[in-house]
Amino acid sequence: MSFLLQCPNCGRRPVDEFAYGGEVTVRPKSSEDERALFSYLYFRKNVAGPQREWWFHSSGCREWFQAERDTLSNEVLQTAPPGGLA
Amino acid sequence: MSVVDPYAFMSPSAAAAGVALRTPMERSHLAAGATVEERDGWRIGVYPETDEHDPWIADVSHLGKLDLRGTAAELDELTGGLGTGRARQDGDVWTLRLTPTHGFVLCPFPRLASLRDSIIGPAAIDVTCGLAGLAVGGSRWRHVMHRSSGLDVRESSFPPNRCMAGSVMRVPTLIVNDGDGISMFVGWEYGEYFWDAILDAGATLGIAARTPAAARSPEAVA
Amino acid sequence: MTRLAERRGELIDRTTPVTFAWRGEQVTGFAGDTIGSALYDAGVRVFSRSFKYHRPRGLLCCVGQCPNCLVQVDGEPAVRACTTPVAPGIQVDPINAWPSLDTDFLHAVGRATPGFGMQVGFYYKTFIRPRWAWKYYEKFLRSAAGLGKLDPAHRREQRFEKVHRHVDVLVIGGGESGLEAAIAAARDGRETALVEEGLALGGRLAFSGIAAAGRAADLTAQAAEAGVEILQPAWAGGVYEGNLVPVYHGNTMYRFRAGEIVIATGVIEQPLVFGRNDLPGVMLGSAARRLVNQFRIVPGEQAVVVTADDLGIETACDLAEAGMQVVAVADLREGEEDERLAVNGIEHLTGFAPVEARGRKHATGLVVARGSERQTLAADTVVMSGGTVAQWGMLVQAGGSVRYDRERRVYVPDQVPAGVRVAGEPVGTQSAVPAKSATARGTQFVCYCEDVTTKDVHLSVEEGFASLELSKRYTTVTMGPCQGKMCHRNSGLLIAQELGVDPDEERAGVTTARPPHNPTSFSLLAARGYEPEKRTAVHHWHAENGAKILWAGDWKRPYDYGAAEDETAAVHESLGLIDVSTLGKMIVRGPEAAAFLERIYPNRYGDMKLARVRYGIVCGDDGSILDDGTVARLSEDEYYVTTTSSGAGGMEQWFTWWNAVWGMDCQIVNVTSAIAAVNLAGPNARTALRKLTDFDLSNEAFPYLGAGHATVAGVPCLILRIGFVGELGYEIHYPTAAGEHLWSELMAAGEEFGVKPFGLEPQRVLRLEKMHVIIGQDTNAESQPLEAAMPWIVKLDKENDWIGRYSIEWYQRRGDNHALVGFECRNGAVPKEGAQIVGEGGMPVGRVTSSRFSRRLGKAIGIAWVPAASSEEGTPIVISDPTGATIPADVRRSAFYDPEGALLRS
Repeated sequence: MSFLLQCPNCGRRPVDEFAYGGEVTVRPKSSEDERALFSYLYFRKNVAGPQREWWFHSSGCREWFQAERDTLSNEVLQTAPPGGLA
Repeated sequence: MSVVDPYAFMSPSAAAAGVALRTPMERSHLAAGATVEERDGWRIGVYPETDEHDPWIADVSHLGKLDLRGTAAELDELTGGLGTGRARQDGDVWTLRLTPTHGFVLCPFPRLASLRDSIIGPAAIDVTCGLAGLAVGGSRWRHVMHRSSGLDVRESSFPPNRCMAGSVMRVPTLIVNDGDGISMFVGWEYGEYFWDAILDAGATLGIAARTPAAARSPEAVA
Repeated sequence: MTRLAERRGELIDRTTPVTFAWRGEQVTGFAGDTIGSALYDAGVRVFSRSFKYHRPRGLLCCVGQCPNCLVQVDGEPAVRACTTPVAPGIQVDPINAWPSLDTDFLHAVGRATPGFGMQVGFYYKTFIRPRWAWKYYEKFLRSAAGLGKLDPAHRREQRFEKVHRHVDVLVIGGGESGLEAAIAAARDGRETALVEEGLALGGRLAFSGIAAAGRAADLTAQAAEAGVEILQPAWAGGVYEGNLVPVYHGNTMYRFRAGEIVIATGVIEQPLVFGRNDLPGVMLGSAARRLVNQFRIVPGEQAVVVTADDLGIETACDLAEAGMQVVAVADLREGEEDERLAVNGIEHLTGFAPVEARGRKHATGLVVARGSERQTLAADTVVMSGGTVAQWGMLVQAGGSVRYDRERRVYVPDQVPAGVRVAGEPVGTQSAVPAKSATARGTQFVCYCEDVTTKDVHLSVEEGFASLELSKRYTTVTMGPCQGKMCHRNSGLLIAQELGVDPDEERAGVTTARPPHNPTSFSLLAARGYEPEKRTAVHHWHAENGAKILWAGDWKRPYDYGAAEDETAAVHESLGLIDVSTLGKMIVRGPEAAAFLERIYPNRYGDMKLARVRYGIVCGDDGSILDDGTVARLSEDEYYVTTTSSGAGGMEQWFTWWNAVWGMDCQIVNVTSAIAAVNLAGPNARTALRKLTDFDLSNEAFPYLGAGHATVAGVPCLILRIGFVGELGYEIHYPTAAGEHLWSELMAAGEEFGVKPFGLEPQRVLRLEKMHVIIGQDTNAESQPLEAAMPWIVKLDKENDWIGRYSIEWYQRRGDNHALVGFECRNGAVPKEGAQIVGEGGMPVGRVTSSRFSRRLGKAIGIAWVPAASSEEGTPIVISDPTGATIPADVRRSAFYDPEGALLRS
């Protein structure tokens, strides 16, 4: 893996400067619905294709951002500060 | 808690006279034959002032450093609208804007306390002891960087008055291009490793350590 | 030394002789020679013995693309003689030959026992039985396998560099197209670098006569003038994601990141497949021309050329001009006799295909045939020009693809990814090339690296490996050091033929060319490696005062100072000092700082008074315990958070991530580096500390869990009154630069109390006596606070939502399955950490996470996970130690030492 990621603050950097934060998920509002809770905790979509995910620029500005990346090609389609993906 | 400054315990400038402030590279300086002299409370490695080396490195850990945190508007206000990735020199004070909400101030250590008091808006946390500093200069400083980091430091990508944070020698590093070379800042705990690693990276280029500018004699600086 | 007259384009400097040793004997060439050219000039014809059959091999490609001239240079194995420049005094030796290059034992065995031929699958089929004999086989096979020898006693003092570079354009290949592309890019103002693996720029121009050499020189000059950075001889190892290209140049590995990659890797001339096509004296046309035009060496007395294209014609003319007798040019193509050959008086046999070479240790001639018409042409040099194939490995690695162009009988680029460009027209053979000779008696080699013959490929298809990919894996064709450069085309043709497909209509496909493009030494890949090491500000004091320093995560920390038990005793009885600067430290500040912490932690922080510190754990949303530490309130909106040493980075990420998710009005600043921390602990801690500060340390003014700003020995400090080790203690946080200063002052102040510095091991014993857990040791990714003996810290009645709440609510509804408890061993034996707790029938039901012998208590104690049903105070448990011992123990639910915490509060 040597693809480049566009940090919204620092610009394009090699992926090894970043820590991967997993898929963007939505946290349930209570523990009432066990199925929803466990699905949030333990299941991931693991899509083959464009995926929205979290990244942390650990070697750089040490801030989180979001990216849309094609998991088949590692092509990074867009990146943005949290919540800013088109 | 009666103390006004809640971060006093992070400020070496609050230390009494006689407290020895050490940079992380002190043992490396001594091992290399430098002497240690006191300047503004800091123990500084003083190297023999011989011929100019190219490239050279100097320990600038004793610089005063403030970590600025606030809203983008607050930082805009404080930095005069300095863009992300830009650095500006005002006299002997450097202002760095790393992200819209995060900046740094670098200054001579004796100026730090008053400068910090003057900052209104963003939080200004004294991280003088959080960041060990290492300056690399000479006409071939980029060659040292090529051997230390995958960052793009070409003139076209990283000209003077720019700053960036990235991986150097596998350590998160804050870098400023001051026009004569660069200053790099890493976590204090990495200081000694970083110094030794950069010296090793530059070994085949003939890199040599020298006294930081603040502690050099006027003739040598001239 | 019989070189041809000096001429433009030659690489040698005739004024500088260079002498080196070949098999211990002196050989002299010129500066600019390769080891290969100098040896050839000195009359050496056999350079190596082949991998499997140990057949003699000579120069084949002269450009580093075949395995035939691999030699050992100054102890370094597998050096390509034909591309490695000569250097004075080097020791060059052959490899893979025993007892000598001329008389090889294994070759003799192969020849003397017909039918014993090591065909494909030979090793698997032969040495499988009898099974008991493997140990004897193995010894023999180990000595016979491999190329070259690594001498364990051999030490090289060499420095290898890793250099990162960014360019706008990186051109791979310094032939005509590559140079032109580089010149254009550089003139366009783009930073351009060009990589060429050969000794001369210009590709084919460099060895194709005076006019071509002039053009090459001209392009080279233009490139220099345009400011193209040229790396030569250097090779690109492959193309990786993000246009990353490793380039190997001498002892340096460059990691190029290029805005654009120009693939100008050109073509490789291919061998032809016929009988004994591996004999020394059989070489490629381009190799013969390189010898003549670049090194000014005449390859032999007489030459016969067999060709599939015009390159063979040009070669024949060059050889004739150099004074060789060119016996004939056998041309695979039908057609008119070539004018250029006629001028030189060379016979042109059109429509003739090669059958087999003649000779045993060296070629003595070539048999060619046209239908049933056979001719035997006597010559000491057999030159083959089997057509050229383009190298598309880099394009495919970059994510592109190629397709077969039936018109031109070549593979051409199909998909070319963004950021990549292909320079030059794909060149290919115009004529059909036979896959092999149908009538040859001698062995026909497809792959020189692994000694794969036409019979092996036939057998593989017959045995069912009926595709290019399967046959490749079975026969190892294309898998040797040349990575298919000499055998890719021919093996594809052959397999197509074996499968009964018309190779000109439909090829059997292409195999994937993977990096590295050329064999690469491990020293280049390893280069200078750096391992970042974190040191506290007191590190050198520890090292200079007898500390046994070990890695602890990324940090170097004292394990003890030589006497762990004495250090433990000092803390209990008087005074100890430990460096805890490695603790993670964060500032959480802003109007919503309190609200943020309420959401992060299971317990409360909004109600916290100023100048107080509170213990806290951080849970994941699945309820698992991620980390623990303390939180001190510095002001209404400002908190000081400590984490475990190993959790510092992770907690910064965790806090900042949730802050990014929630978008709250607070900031998180990791200040771990800026702050040194020490813990002064023991009954005399207060008395000793009083000597250095005016701060009121009395229990009334500064009680347990107090947090106070103080000046200690002139140093501004934050003192936290907490007690991980169980005695009266002060955790003192202060600026890192004063780390050694304050530590020394504290040691001096404690001297009268017999203060001892203590390391991690004594600290582990002390905290175990207090049953304080270590997150990550006593807990794992499945541990949640209800079971981990910390239900008291979980505030399910908090009005707000917090991370882990939903899962912990679920756990509470479910009830506990397991429990983290203390235990005390009955017989004094100390079980190993990780030992099992066993239930009925010896079934494992739990495990020991911590265990030590406490000298203070005179007992073996520990912490363990046990079934919830066995977690009551006093429940007997049985520990099965890995040593085999069975250790009876009793469950303890409160601290072994000072269970009331009276000492901490004193």
